[in-house]
Amino acid sequence: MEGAASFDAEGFFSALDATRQERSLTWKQVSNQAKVSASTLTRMGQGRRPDVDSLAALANWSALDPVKFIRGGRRTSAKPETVAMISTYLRSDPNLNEAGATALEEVIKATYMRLTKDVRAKARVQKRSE
Amino acid sequence: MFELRRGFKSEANEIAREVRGELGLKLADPLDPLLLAEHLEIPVIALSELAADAPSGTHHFLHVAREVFSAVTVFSGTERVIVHNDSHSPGRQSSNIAHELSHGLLLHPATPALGPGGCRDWDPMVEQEAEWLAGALLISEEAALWIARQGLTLDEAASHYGVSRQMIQFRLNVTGARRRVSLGRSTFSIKAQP
Repeated sequence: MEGAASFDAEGFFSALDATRQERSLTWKQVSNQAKVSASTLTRMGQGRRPDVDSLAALANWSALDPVKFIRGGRRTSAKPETVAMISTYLRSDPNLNEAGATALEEVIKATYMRLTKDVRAKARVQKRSE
Repeated sequence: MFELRRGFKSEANEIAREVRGELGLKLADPLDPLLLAEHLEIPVIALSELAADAPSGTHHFLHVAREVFSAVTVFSGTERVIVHNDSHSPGRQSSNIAHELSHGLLLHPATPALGPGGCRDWDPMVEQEAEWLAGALLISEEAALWIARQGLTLDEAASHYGVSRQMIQFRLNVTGARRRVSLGRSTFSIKAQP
């Protein structure tokens, strides 16, 4: 039996984002135009593969070919390593003092470590089930 | 106050209605942000859960300077997780989590965590959109009108919806709910007269 192929949902989502940016649209406009719910798009960002109808709608909207996102091998993605490279939305006082900035850095690092551990574990589970 | 782009408020109301439908909620029902997070598959971590991994950082925000940290969304690629300050009141925690989920629903672009010297990138437009959508999610327009129609006090409404009094007041103000309800009543009473 040949190695199992899988759909690169992350790659497809990134390509959608590029199409969205080219067309100068918000994600809400993508949702309206493609008739795919905002929550489906949010879940795709979380690594969830879209259902077939949503995939068809998004492929149709973007003119992206889903077949081109089928991967035979394992995909690798470079991950940021320093806290300055970790992306966030911060909901706190924008004028943090030094103690606050240090505390925040520690919290963000710990969260990031936990997230990457979870993402790796999920990838392993997904791989096993394929 | 930074001005929201044209059409954004209607989009926010649309998203709020859409997710309520997906969650099987009526338009004026209370919305539990943790259930919404589950629906969106976004993990939510309480700051105190990170005590072992970030002892001084969590201590600082849980005990020393509680006000300066509400919540943060951290990314790995496009995947995100939310950490929120569970030393805040339950009503504020709801707002904090709903705010981060709103960033998620709007798929706002994220920014680097900390720049050189601990400076932060701060996008007021993105923050304001998330703030607005969080309010529309927690207290929909229909919920605000229901509160006004029932004549609930701020405390009663806050307790029913699991949010802060400030959030209730804010949503009553921006939706004009009390005025709309009293206008409706006076119109009705005029029409009802023989």
